[in-house]
Amino acid sequence: MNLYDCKILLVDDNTELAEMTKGILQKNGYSMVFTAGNCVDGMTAFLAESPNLVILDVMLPDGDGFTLFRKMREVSMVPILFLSARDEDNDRLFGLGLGADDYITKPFLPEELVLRVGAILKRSYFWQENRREELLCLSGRKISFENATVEYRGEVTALTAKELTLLKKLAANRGNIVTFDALCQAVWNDNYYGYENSLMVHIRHLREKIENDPSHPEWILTARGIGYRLAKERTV
Amino acid sequence: MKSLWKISRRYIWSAILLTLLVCVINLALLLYFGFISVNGIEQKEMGRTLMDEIVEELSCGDGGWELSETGYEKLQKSSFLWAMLLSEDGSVVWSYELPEELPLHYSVGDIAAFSRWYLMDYPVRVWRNGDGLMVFGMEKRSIVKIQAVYDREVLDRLPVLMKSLLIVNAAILIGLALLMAYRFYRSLKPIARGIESLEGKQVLVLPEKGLMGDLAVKLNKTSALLRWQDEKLSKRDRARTEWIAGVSHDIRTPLALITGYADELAADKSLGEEQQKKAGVIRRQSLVIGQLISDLNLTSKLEYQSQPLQRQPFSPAGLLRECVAEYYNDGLPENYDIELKINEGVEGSCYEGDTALLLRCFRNLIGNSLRHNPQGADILIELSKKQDGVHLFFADTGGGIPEEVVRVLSGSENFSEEKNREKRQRLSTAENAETAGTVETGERVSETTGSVKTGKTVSETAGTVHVMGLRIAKQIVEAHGFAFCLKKRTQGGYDVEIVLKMAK
Repeated sequence: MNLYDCKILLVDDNTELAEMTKGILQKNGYSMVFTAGNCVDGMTAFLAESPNLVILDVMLPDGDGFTLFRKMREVSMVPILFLSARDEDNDRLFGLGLGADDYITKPFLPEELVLRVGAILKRSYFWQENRREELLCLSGRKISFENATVEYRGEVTALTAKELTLLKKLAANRGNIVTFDALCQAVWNDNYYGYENSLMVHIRHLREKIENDPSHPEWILTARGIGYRLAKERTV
Repeated sequence: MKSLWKISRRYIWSAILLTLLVCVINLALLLYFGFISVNGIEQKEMGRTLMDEIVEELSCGDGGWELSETGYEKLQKSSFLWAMLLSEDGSVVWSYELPEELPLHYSVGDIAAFSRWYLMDYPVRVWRNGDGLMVFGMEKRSIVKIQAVYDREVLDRLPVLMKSLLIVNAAILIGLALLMAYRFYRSLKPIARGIESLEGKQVLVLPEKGLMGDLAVKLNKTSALLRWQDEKLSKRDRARTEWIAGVSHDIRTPLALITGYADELAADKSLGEEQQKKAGVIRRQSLVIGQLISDLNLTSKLEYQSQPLQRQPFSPAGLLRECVAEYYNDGLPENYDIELKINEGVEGSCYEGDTALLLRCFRNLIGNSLRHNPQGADILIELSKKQDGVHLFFADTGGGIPEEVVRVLSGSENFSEEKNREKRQRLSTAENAETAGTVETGERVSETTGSVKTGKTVSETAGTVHVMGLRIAKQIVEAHGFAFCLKKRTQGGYDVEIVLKMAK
């Protein structure tokens, strides 16, 4: 299935806005966009078309989007995104807490909506493709997350469970800084406090296994005082 | 309650002083009247001197006892009504104006009786004359005779008695004063407590009985009035907050349409470059409006405490790391650098707070530094543990927060200032509208539109409502009970320091 073949259902009572959003999505390649103006129509369309993604307004004339969300979730686990005029953190947290895949507040930049829709669809339906990336290649070293090994010049080194978790976390956010706190949460499920040295030691061991020169790392970079970052592949 | 004890003490002192004063006055008056009454007898021509002088004038001649002329004159001038001389055997041997009802012979018993008391109701005075006795009679009811006979033993013990009497008096006095002061204190206590709780806006129901009943009634009424006013005020505040929330909500959908279509037009190649540019400005400014109403909504909620804090434990160091990492991950321009310095002891600190709001506060502060230093700057965030809690210090290599903004910010509780602030904000927004077309502000849209990031920096989102940003930061900090301080640099503007008080 192609990303752009995904069916998108848009439920919003403002027809002009629905029209515009539909236009934006269509212009960006999503040809199968359906719209509905209220909860009842939304649910009917949801059952009839079984869309791959739903964009829900929170305030609808015959009910609220949160309730509609629950009803839809009873039927299927398709990704659902809220597009709301309610900007309060509480609403956003409530929506996300229900299990929504994203929460966008109006006004939004069309580009942002498209990017988020794309990201959710990729994450939900095309993660198999990403799976293949679970084989990291860093300066000739092949790292297999599945086997927890590093292969370099025919020599295979095993990664410890903690090193693997660290590397997975960094790889999942590749190019971005992952804070000490997030790393400790991933490895020890605990706060950073008390693990300062342990984290440093594990990172050093990890560097020894995957870096050419562990004291001058080119992959696992330190963001001083904040966290670590797995460098992106350089396009040389 | 301390003031009440002071009142009681004064009460006791004034009671003692008052009693002493009354005693002294009474004593003085008593002495004065005693003196007058003794002195009066002398002055009324019936004193001892006169009697002596008259008796001197008596002489016993051949024809019996006689009074000289001067003697008669003196007797006439005196207040004595009559006089008689008794001989050794009790017979009248000489008399002057003797009333008829009086006998002419007296027994020893008679003499003993009238010398002490009265002679047929006439008060008399007696004066020894050789072996005889001179008796002077005065008008009836003109003089009171009181005999005093005292026990010698009692008289000897008088100083001791007086002393114990004084002590007993003092004890009774102080005891009574204390009792009354205590009663006074007790009746005042609920009133004082009432006033105190009135200050704290607590519901007040005082017993309306006793000494301070009237006062209690008035206090209760005042309390009810205050409560009513408070309710009215909070009702109005709530209505205003709800209204702002409603408007903010209703504006968003049309604004989304404006943004969306402006965005489309800005990218429409069939339009001229000029038109595309204009559409770009519309899109940018509609996002500014979106940011503004969102800020307005939050600031009104924080102001009227209708934004409940979602408290959860957090580590200040961790939260700031998250915040700074976000900036880097969202693509911090090359000419900026954010340094996070975490000093010793901070790492283990744990607080409770609304992390979403606090993150927003930190973003406002960092965003402020970014926005106001378009040429680039190094931002330093230093966390240090001090006695009163963890201090978060936000500084940059730019000019710092200008004096004017600080003034507006610190006067935010003041109503007249509020007007000024609104005016200034309007000005700054208008300014922004003019310059937004040319200045890249670096504000990221992801901070307002959801927690999942697109990883893209929307540099043209703008919004230089710097006072609003700082004000929200301040409100968030203060809503948590933390302190928001502006610290003057030795040169230039101000830096922000947040003191996280009450470490767990």
